Amino acid sequence: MASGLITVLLSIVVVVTALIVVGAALCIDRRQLRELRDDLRARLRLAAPAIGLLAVVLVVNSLTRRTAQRLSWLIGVEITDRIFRLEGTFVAWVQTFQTTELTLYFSAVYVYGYVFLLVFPLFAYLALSKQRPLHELTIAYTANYALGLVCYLLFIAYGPRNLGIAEQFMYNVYPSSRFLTSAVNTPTNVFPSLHTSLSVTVLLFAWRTRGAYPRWLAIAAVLATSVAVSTMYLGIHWLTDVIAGIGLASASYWIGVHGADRWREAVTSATPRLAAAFRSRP
Amino acid sequence: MPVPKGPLGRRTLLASTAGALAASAGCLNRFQASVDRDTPEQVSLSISTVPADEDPVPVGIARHLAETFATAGIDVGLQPVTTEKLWRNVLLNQNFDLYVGQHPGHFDPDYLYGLLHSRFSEEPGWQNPYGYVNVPGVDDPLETQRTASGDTRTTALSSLAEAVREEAPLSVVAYPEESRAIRTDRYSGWSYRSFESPLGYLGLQERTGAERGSRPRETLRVGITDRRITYNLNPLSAEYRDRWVVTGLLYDPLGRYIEGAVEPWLADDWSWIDDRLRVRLREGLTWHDGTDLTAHDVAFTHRLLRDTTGTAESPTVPAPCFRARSSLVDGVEATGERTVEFALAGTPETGLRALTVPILPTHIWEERTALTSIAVFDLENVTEALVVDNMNPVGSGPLRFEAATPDTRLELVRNDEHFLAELSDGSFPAFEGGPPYERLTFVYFPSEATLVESIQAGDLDASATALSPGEIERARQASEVDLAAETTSAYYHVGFNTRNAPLSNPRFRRALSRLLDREYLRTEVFAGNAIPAFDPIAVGGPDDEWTTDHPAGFVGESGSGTVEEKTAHDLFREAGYIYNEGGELIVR
Repeated sequence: MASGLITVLLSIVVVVTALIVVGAALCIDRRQLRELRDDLRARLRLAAPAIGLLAVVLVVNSLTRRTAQRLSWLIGVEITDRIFRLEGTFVAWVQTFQTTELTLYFSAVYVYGYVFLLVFPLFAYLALSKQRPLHELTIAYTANYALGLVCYLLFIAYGPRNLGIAEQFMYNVYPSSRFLTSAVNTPTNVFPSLHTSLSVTVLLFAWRTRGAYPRWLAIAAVLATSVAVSTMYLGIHWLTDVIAGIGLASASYWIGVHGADRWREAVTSATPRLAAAFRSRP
Repeated sequence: MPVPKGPLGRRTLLASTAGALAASAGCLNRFQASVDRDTPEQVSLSISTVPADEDPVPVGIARHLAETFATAGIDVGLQPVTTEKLWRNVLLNQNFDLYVGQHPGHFDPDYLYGLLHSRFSEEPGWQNPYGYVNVPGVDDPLETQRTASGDTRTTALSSLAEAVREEAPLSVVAYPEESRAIRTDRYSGWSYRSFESPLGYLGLQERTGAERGSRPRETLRVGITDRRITYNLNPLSAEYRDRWVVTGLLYDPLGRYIEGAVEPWLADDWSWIDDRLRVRLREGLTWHDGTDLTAHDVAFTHRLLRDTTGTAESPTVPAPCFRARSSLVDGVEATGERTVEFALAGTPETGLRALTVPILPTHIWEERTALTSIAVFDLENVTEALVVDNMNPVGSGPLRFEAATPDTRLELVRNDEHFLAELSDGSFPAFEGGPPYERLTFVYFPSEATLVESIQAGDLDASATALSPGEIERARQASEVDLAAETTSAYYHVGFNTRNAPLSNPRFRRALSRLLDREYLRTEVFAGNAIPAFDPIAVGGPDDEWTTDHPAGFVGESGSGTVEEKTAHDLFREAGYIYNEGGELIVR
């Protein structure tokens, strides 16, 4: 099983790297890339605190997933039925448009396009002479994950596939993708859709930086919409999850834009004290 | 209306109110008479089931029910929960309306004694989870079949089956034809023994060197899609055990069902002296830790199953599994190191069932008789024996526990001290010499599709769990992969919580179960891989008298999966229920 997961991960690394190269060629001009190369170290140092925070949230998430899942069954509210009553068989209707081509497209978008959509702006914003968008985006990612985790703890919801409403197209044509999804998620964590919220977050920032990267806005718009639709087309999420995901994206965008300065201040003021604390250790 | 302030104002208000009351007393009487009646409400039912990831069949049945129930004007909800949580809700907490699930299966109809006898209506486990009480209608035939034999027993069982259909504490849907994906290049005999019992793993035959090629023989690797065995191996935990197959490999019983009859297993021999059964153990039996297995362990186990507190005091806390079997034992006594005497209720036919429970080592389990307490909680009616995860099991079975990684894998190794390893008296030719592999590894897979791919690639020898109907076709088409199919006694069914109205009314339950289109489910949900049935009794196979136009069958057109609204409404009207103007089935 481990080898299955590694194969999937390797394919993601290869595909996403290729996409980033293409994306960079399309969206970022040469001068910016040269500047990035010369100034890389300083920019990474600036980005480090926010990226560190994101990394901490991700690590905590992966370490506590099993416990969190058990805790969720203990304290969480089971809302699958409420979602089903709310929207009925909408996802089954989405799936009536199924074709082999669409399944391939949406599966590719769900696995590769999504990762590219999240990773590329980190790279693109690092290439900007102003580092603020990178900083804001990282904080917004962190907010997405942190708020998402709280929701997953409080709400227990199975996706339409698990209620027999929808087919699992992706797993049927591409069984090994299941290694990935089961390694990074649990079937009761569907409300809200993090795929949607992170993609929409990227889209909101693409709009914010449209002056610097007009082409990226177009790419992000197509990809983010495709990701949101793919979560339903593939039978993984309810429409309700997607709408909640858009809500979470809006909140995270707001936190990213308004929280960036506070986080920077907090880290800047804490750094000397932290450094002193390290130095004073015997 | 502004409320006047001050004493005078209040008095004035009271006086005027009294006047108004006197004037309108007649109207108020009518008002009171109206509002004091409970407003009828739409019948609302919740169907619990496991998610499609864990088993797509029950959720398919539940969705079909939800649709026909809705046509009948019932407000119906679907509640997917993990398998573990489902059984905890249904078997331990009695917290459900309806559930759709699979019964662990059975070898003798006497299991119904535990499932339906009113004396167990308050007990947890597979003991009457429906809270069903029918004295003497069901209790009497249950008692009779236990102590009768021949035609008398057959008659009692038929009237029992009839009563179950009529009363519908549960509604049997179908006996599945289970298929497991296997490859036959290293071991043969896959379809020879049932995978409902541990014998499926013990009856395998090793291929000879030439057939096997270069593939090694040491490890039998099987895939599972149910991860519960990677973190719980307690044979007494009802919510973790579906068929007791893995714990059945670790823990031996005195006797096992082989080819339909209980044959001596740990026992060497047994004989009846009047109504007492004298059992002699095999020579030189040991536990996996090297301690001797004696008659005292046998007596201890049977006392523990009846009351896991191990004291003579009340309350008793019986093990929530094996109750039907432990209730067959009126008394047990170790009369020597290797001899035990049982006072058994029942005939040899039913009484020997008591010997099929797993025997547990005294030196491990006698320390588990205390009531549990977790930090600040003192829990009553739960003993350590029932909740311990037992991830270091010491049994006596043909396989020994080696290692486990939660949610990933479970490794067992061959027990060379087991009696099968030295057996040469020809009593079990199929199992002589013990398992043909050194090690048995269960590997958890998140999906059946990836599991079948691994079998195809040669990383696994078989799927330990049965494939879901949709995967059977895929596996059939996969090269290098064969299918081992068998019809099991582990039937899918709908269970009703008869403790709560309106499910307490047999007429209501019967009407509900007539909204179940077994023929439609056979084709749509089981993809043809099931035998529809009404009866929870299947001796040597499911009920072959099943017909689509049975009086307890679907009220709509069989096979269509849908029912006309009028037909469905008439069904409940006949049962004494009423509908409001909106077509909702209502109840006070």
